[in-house]
Amino acid sequence: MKKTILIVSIALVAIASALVYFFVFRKNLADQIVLPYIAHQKPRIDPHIPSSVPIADKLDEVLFDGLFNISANPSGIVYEDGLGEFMGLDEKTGVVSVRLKPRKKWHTSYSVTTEKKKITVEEAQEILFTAQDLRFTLRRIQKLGSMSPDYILVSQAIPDFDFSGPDENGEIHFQFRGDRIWTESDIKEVLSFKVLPSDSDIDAPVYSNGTGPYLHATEFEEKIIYHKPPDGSASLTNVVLKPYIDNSTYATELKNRNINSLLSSPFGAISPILGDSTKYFYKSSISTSFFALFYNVSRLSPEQRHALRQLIDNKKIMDRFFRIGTEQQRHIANYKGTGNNYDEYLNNSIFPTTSYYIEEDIVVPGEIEVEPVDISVLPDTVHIHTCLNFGFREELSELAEIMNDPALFGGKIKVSAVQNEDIRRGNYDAVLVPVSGYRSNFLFDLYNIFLREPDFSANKINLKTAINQSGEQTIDEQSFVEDKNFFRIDLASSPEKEDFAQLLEYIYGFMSTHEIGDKQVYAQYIDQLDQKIALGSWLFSLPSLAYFSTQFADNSIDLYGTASQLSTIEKWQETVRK
Amino acid sequence: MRLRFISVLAFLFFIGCSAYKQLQPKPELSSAEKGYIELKDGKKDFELKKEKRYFIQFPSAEDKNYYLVLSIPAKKSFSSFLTSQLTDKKRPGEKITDESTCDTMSVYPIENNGSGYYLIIESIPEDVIFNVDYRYVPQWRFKFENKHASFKEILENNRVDREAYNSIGPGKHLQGTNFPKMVKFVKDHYGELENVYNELLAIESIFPPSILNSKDEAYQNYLTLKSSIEEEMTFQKNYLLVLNFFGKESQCDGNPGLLMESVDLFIEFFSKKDSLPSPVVSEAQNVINERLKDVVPFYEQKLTEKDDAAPFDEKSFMTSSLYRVATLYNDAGLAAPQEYTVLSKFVKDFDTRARGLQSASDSLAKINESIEKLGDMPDDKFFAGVVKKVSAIKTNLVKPLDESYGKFNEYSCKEKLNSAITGFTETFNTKAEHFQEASSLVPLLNSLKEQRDFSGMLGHLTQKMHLDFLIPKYKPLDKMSVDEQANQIEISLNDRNWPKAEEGLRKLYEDTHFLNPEEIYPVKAKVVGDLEDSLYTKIDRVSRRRIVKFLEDNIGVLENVDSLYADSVFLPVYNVTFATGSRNDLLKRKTELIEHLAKMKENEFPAKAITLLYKQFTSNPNKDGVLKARAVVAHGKYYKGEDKKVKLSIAECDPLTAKWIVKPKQYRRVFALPVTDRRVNNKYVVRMYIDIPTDAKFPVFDVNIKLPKEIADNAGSKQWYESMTLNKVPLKNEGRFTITAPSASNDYECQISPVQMKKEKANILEITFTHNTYKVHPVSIMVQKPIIKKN
Repeated sequence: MKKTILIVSIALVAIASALVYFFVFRKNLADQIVLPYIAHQKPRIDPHIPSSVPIADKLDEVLFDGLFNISANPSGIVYEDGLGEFMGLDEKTGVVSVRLKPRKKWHTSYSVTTEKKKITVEEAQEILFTAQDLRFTLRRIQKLGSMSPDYILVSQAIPDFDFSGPDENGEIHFQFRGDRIWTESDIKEVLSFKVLPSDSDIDAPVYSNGTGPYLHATEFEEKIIYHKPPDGSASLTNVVLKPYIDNSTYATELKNRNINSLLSSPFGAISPILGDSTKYFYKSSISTSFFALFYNVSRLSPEQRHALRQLIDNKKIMDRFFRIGTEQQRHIANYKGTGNNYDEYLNNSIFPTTSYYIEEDIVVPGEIEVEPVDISVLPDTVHIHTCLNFGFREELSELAEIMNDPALFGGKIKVSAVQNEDIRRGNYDAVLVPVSGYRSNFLFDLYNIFLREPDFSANKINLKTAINQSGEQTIDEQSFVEDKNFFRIDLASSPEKEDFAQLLEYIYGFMSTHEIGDKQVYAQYIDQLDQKIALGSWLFSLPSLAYFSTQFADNSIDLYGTASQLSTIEKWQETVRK
Repeated sequence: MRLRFISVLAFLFFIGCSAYKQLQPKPELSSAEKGYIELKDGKKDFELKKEKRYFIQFPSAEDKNYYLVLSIPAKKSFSSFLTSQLTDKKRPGEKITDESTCDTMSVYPIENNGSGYYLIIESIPEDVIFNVDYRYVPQWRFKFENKHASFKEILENNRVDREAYNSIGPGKHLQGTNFPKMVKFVKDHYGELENVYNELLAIESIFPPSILNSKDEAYQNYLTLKSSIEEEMTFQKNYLLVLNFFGKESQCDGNPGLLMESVDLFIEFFSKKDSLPSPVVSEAQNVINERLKDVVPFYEQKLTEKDDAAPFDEKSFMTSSLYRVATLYNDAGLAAPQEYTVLSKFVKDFDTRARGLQSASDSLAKINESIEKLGDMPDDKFFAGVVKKVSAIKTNLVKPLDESYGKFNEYSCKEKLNSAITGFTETFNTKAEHFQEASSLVPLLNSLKEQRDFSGMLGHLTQKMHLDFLIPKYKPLDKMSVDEQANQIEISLNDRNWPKAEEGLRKLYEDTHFLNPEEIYPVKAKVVGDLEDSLYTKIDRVSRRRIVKFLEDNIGVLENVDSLYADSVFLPVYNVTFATGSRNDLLKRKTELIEHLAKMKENEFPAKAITLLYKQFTSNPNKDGVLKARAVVAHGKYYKGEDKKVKLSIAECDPLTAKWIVKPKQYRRVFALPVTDRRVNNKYVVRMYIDIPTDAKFPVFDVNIKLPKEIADNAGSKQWYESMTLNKVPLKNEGRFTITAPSASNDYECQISPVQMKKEKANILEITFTHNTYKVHPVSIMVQKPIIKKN
């Protein structure tokens, strides 16, 4: 009897404990999308300029609207009305008419109050979107020039970056170029750039006032909370960014229900601890990050750089990285089909293998034969530095360890984790850099490689332009200054000035043109020049794998490109439990 | 000045219109024939005033043919004339001609006109005394009285001496006379007398009846003079006759040709022998009898030289003169010698037969000519008429000269004539027989001709090839026979009576009944060749029509299309056994025919079926569109032609054949067709072969696909396509690719971008999707260079 009483008592205690946990300590992620971010890399959102922090670019879709917004469905991408409504194209004149939505409010039209973590968003003084906002945005994009992908997007259709109107019907009219048939989808693609309010600072470091599905509500305890406006159309109420020291615990956090969405898994690999498909599902997409060694041209001669490139075997590194052939192999998914397609991530050019330029054989790495170089020309130790304080900490640590293995490179290489300031000083033979947020389409970003200031904490691009005698905008030699790029290229003092000047011309040509043919040719020139002057080892790309809790309905999340992973965020829905 | 001119004109007018003043002689004028009578104004002569005008009225004559004779010494001092009319004394009638040539006399012929005559006097320049005598006298008398003396003188001056004439007698016939000179002399005199004689006869013609048998002196003088002239003229005429006879006879001495030419002159002489003195006649007989002895030798010579059967030429043989010699003998009272009689008979009989032969020959020639002129293929009556004419000629056919011509029997011309007559007679008889044959044959031929049995006609004609005059008339028959047989074959061909056509062709090929084989054989060979071609061509054509009909009947067959191609309709409608060439040629042609039809099976039939079906398909794709498209593809399996349009139609209907897209910026319609046959979830395939000309080294395009709403309507909730591949590499809305979803807002247009093409290589874009329909879904595809997209 006692024994029975004991058993029942224990069961009651257990049940009570479970109930207490469920009602008191349970982590309630309902009606919110919780994403992780590196605490000291707070996303600085600029909808027109790529960020070094991937989540920052993705948040563009959360906060801002374009005239038309890119969304997706099972059959592909779709263009939805944002701030505009497509009225038609006059095929004879090429004039596109768009009616501006009259009742679109800027997020500043709402007041946000927080009380005991409860966020209340109420209507405040209404501030509506106007054509003036659009004109300001276009002017900003034009000013940013080749720094902004939107510049390329708009310039290929609307050469004057302007429009007429609005007329009495609220319609504005764009004069599109007449060199092609403008389908409705193309028009909406061109007009999908995000719109900022006209009272914004044109050179602000960050923008947060938009008309998108979520407004920036508050930040507390380093959490960044975006809230659905009262009249918003999003399914879920909040989007929350939770801070973490690094990405090493992201999978555990998801498992522990501290987050419910992980847009990029560590190592881009399938996580063994998230293998329960009843609780998690993942979606693979094209890579957006790669690792590379940028050579310091001020310390390594061309001959040494070629020798170093010859020494670095990226396949060996990648095999170690994914522990291929071991019990601890990091399996990867493949958005195209079967997984573990590691070799497709090996890069042999500035242009990643996943990019359009390599995949379509526009650029063929190794096409130019380079004379074999004796690695004895290298210094006794090649000092490679990296910084583990800003994203990809897990991956960079692993890479440093791999490359430091004497079995791999005979102890010729010494990879050291240093502070960001050391990187800035350029005290390295090469630097191990994660390049994130790259596009594999035509808009592959070379500024982010060659003109990024040597600062892991920021994504500052040292692009200096000038106007030549013909009135054309050209790149200024000041863009290559030793302390303004990881390669330490300086046109003022380098004995390789001619090649570097050529490189700068090619980079600017590639980035500033909206002609695909020009981009193809510049890509070839750049690759060929790199094969000649050996600026780095391009290592490999990181698979892109997003994990989601089954809290969300799988079929409500459509991804079509990492840069816009969140473009359908307003449609995400929670799974309806029966 | 002007006024004065007008005044003068008026004066002259009045003067001109003023009346003639009548002078009335006393005593009154008398028309009795009394000799000259003074014309007086009482006892005085009339005075004619200057510039006055007068007339005197004379009574008419008592009879016709009178003269009014006026003796006017001052005739030249004024102007005068006689007229039978004077109206209102102002307007004289027609002037009567003054027959006098004398300056003091006027002679006007007048008649008994009842009204008399008016002597008009005018243009008197000065005052003058009008002294005149007048006389009414018969014209004969006035004329004879004036010429009697001269006539007598002419008679006397033209008399011819008669001594020579009168000297003619035996042995004397004016030998030594210059006959031409003498003849001219006598003729001249005779001419003078004849002129006078004629004037006398003219005067006699106007004798009034009352003068005849009267004792009027002038009349008696007339009779005497006329008689004297007549007697002298008779002598001179006879003298001329005699001079001509003896003169001509003298010329004929040694000139028998002239003798023959002068026969009629001699006959005329003897015809007037009764008016000549008998000595003259007797001497003439003697002379001519001697001269005629030259005739027979003359003709013997000419006949000896004649060496043909032609009739005598009158000009050179003077046969009529020869015959007239008999008359001469007779008129001269002489007996014709025997030699002359035989000669004359020979010449006459020869000439008669020669002319008879010539006439018969000419008649036969005319018959031949009429046959020659006859057009093709005579009627039934023509040769009956010819036979009748030939009979008439035969009746009058001349016979050879017999042996009754003495020495002329041996003459060459006689032999030639007899030989010609014999030869002609034989020829004529043969011709007559042939004409008779023709007369019998032609009706038979015409009967066959009516039946268009030209070959039968030729069968008869080739048995009568000796009728050389007839055969050419049927020269067109060879071609007619060939044409008719060809026509019959054509009719059989048109009636599709292939055995009959083939039999006719074989018969024509073997036909040898022709009048001119050498000429017609090449023609026949060509016709046979053409008909043989036509036989094959028509069998081919009919077979093809049967195939076309078969196609029309079976165009609705959309399933089991293969069975159509196993049908016997693709074999020829008739198995030909004839060929102009060898057995191998026959086999070759039959093989060609079968192959040609087979080509239709492989080309035209499927091409037409495909064209028709494709037209139906495109005009209404929703009506059995899938079955029609599949039928097009099924027909297409058999199509081996090169027609791009047909091939394009097949390609358009075959979902597994890539549709060419070669132009940028142009929407091209293609048909999405199911490749499965399920009730639901049928799989559709659209394949495109993209080959856009571009200078780009790495061509890259957007592919825009306008979908039917039916297909794309649910694209928002479910991926509308099953797969998209470029060169069998899947295209996914992942990575760097963008596939725009079709929606109502973009008019259900899907865009794939960027699609990298391989330059100068096949770029096959394939889209598959499943749908619960089983129908044709039209899809429009447009390719153009892409824009650079942000994502």
